[in-house]
Amino acid sequence: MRIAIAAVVGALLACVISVGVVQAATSAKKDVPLQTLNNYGTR
Amino acid sequence: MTRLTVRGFRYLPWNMTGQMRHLAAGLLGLVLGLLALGPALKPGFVLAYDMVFVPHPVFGPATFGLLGSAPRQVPSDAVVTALTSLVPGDVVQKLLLLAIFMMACVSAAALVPSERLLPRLAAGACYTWNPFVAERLLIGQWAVLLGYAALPWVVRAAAEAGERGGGWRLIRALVPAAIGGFAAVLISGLTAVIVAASRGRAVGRVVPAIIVVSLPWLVTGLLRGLPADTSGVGAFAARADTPFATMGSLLSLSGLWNAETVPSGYGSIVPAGVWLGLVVMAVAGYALWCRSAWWRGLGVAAIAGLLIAGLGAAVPGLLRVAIGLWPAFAVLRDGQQYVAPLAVLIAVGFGVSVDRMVRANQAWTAVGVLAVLAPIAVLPALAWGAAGRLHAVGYPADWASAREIIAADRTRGDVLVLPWASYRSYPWNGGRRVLDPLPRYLDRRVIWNDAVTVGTTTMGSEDSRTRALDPVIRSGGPLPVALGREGVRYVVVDAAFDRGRLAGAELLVNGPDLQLYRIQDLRPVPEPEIPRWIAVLAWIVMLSLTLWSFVAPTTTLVTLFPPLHQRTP
Repeated sequence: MRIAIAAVVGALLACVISVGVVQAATSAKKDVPLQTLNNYGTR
Repeated sequence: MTRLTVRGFRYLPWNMTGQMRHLAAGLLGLVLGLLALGPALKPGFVLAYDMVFVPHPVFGPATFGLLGSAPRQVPSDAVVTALTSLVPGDVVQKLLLLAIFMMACVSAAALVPSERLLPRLAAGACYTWNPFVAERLLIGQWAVLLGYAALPWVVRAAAEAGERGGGWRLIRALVPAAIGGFAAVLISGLTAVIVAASRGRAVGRVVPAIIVVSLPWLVTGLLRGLPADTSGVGAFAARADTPFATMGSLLSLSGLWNAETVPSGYGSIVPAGVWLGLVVMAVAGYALWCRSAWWRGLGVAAIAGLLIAGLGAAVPGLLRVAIGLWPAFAVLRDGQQYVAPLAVLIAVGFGVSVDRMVRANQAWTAVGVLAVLAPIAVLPALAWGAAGRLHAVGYPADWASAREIIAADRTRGDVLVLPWASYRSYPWNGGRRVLDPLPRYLDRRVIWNDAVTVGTTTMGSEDSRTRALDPVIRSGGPLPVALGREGVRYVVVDAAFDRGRLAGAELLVNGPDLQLYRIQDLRPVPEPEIPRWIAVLAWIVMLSLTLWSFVAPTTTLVTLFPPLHQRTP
């Protein structure tokens, strides 16, 4: 029973973390181009 | 006659005089140009940073610098617009780019004090194919390169300015720089003044010649006033793009402020080290063996250019103070371009060194052939559209639709471009950065944010209409009513933007690459514009004296129309 609960909790945590990571990566991808796409360049 | 000892080449004319030597250098320049541009020569437009060509440019007040941003595009835009009325715009662009390579090779080759062909071609190749050309090409500053290409002619003409007709010859030599505009003329003018001054005379002829070819942008620039913006000093200062620090990079003819325009693979120790070795050898060759009339003047101009180039990086505070005192000193912010006279010196020194080598032993002739190829071997990343970074593309169909709708509308009113920034990275252009082409593409007054952002530093706008609209657009609120009050008839969105802010405006084009909105209720806004007759007068004086320079020095009415018995069949 404990193993089953641990598996379910672990799966949920993995889902939350992976969704969070994807969200963070996606938002970071959006932010960076919006800030620099219209720049003349970078030093 | 020196002949190559390798079988098969022995009958080639390695010593050339007259026009033939220019032909050989021109052909080499053409080959180098074709090699460098590669895919950029396909049908379409090469859009990279400041290089903006459009299919149907039209003459307007902005073309002549009468309104909008500072007149950096004067007179190059006018020349391109005139040429585009004769041949398609993309062809004009390719011809101009190829002309830069051919002129650079011919002019540098002609400056080498040698009768031998190999040293001249080596100098031509060195001047045409180096980090300066690569970086300025990648940042799209073809107008600067136009002046650079003719700089060796300017050096010779400035040295001979004291002779009969010397002033007119200098104006002729300055024509490519004059087409390029203020940056090209400043570099050529600085070099010409120093070369002439080193000869102890003729500065009185050189300065008027420079002023004559500068009139179109000088008059409008002075009347409109220049912005005293010191924020660009740090942004546009030269930077180290080789392992040899900023001054070592500048000595290597690289060091442009933009990290994105370094040729692929150039900055690492081996290619940059080999190239710097060639540069040092060329400078030594120049100092030891070049004793032409202009050698001292060109040497001083190269040193002065190198010091100016390093100014923004070494003592930025001094440059900020200078700009604060007189805004015109802002022309020194992008200092790296002032290494152009050093490039002439290096090319001539390279040619002179090859000449010594070949003269010492004919067996070295084969090595001389390799010397012609050396710049390409050291900087292969310039080849084939700078290793695929320069491509020709077509403008999307949405753009053409928007242009037709706006051109067909007889109602007055300006065009606003959103998003509120000057540069774009369009998907249809491979994501390459480019100055928004819409102000040149559309046949109407275009208001756009000409403020330039480098990294996190933003230089302020130079257009009064932009400054007036800036708070409205940055407010984040609905736009149509506020824009109508400011005289805006159309809004063009050519990149990601919150379109909800344009609710209420009529959507005319809704494509993936561009959206066009029309605002019905607007109030025309009078445009602050300098008197047109002053600009017209400046153009008339410049064109008249430039045309006269091609006729005046060597011909009189008698030689133009010799008696029949003196004419050769």
